[in-house]
Amino acid sequence: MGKGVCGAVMPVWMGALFSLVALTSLVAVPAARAEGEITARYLAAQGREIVLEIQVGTPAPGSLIVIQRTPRGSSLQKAVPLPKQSGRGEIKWLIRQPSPGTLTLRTTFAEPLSPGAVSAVIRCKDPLTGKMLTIKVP
Amino acid sequence: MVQVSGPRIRGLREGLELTQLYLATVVGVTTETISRWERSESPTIKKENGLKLAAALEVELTELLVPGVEAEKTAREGAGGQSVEEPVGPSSAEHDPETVSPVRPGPGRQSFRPLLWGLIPIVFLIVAWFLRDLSSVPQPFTLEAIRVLPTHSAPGQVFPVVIRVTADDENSSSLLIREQLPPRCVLVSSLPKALEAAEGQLKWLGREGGDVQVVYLARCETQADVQTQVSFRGSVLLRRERHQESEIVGASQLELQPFHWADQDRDQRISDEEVLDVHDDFGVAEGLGLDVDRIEEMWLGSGYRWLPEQQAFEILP
Repeated sequence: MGKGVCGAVMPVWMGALFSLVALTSLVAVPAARAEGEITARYLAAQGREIVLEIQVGTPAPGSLIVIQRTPRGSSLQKAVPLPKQSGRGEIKWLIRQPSPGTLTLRTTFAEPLSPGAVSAVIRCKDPLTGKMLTIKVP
Repeated sequence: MVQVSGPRIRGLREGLELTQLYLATVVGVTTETISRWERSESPTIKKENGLKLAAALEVELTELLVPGVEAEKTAREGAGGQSVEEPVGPSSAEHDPETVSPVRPGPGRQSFRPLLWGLIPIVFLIVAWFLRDLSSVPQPFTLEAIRVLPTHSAPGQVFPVVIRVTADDENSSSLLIREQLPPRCVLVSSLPKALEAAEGQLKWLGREGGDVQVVYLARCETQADVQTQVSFRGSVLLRRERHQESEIVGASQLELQPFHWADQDRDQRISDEEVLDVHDDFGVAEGLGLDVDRIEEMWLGSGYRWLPEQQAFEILP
């Protein structure tokens, strides 16, 4: 009788296991698409050279606006890539069709910037929802 | 065990007008067993069943027994407190596989249970895979066409229109897109190049599979009144084994107003969101000569102003 009981119980959990596998196979979907996320940080936020690194997720937005705020009176000497506008304490980039991955914006100033003197705002449309996103750095 | 009289059982049952099925149900055996008892083919039955049978027939058990045998059976049952194995054959009612009374499953029956339990999930898996295959079976193809159009444009100013066709059909098919421009509106350029018929009828013909996008630039004139609304309409036709035609849905109305088409909220300036929409929705029109740089100048500046005499915008620094 004990053998019989074991024989009857074992298939229950086996059945449950098989059912779990079957359910998993039913709900399984192709590899999850990564969110179209944008993150950013300053690799260098003081001194003469300021480096802003932006991570562009997949799918990438159609375009990105980056506005870097600097102390009024700071003199921009060089910027890569070239901004659309600079002056009055703001440097503006409009980056068309950014590729997923890392995007680096480098700016060089005539005089060193003190810590905390620089900040940035990134604006784009969420490629999945079309909602306007605003990312503040730091 | 007791030995019952078959003719006696039949006689009592028929006298009470009972069926074999009724007796079988009451005693907990099959009708075949009752039949064998009545034919005296297996007259030795369990005392417990005998008591149930007697009750059903409304008599005492002793009235069912074969005379002279009952006492002997009872004595043998009681000898030494040991149960006495009745030499009954395989046709004995108690060993009848069809008996209705609960029977402890034998080793053979138990050995099938694990197999059955194992088979259920396997069958489930097969059904799951079948359903998966069903979901991947190509459905009748669908055809959708959406027009993206600014809500307004200034008179005489170029604005972009995008038509996106989604054909749920990976096979190459003949595709015809038809677009009717509103009166007093003209085509400036298009990509791919449109076949233009009389009275603002535009056509694009191709052999395409999957998604298709058509973009064109147009310009509308007004007469006396500036605020005029114009309507766009069109359809898309796909031919594979059969024709399928769909109307182009999405935006179809455009107002002629003294605001730039990219200035969606008509506040005479181009915001961050508006300039992003220009690139996201109409960036493809840049290849047609859409002056995106001028829109960016408006975005970078403090605003713009419409000059009705010149039919042009002035960018404010």
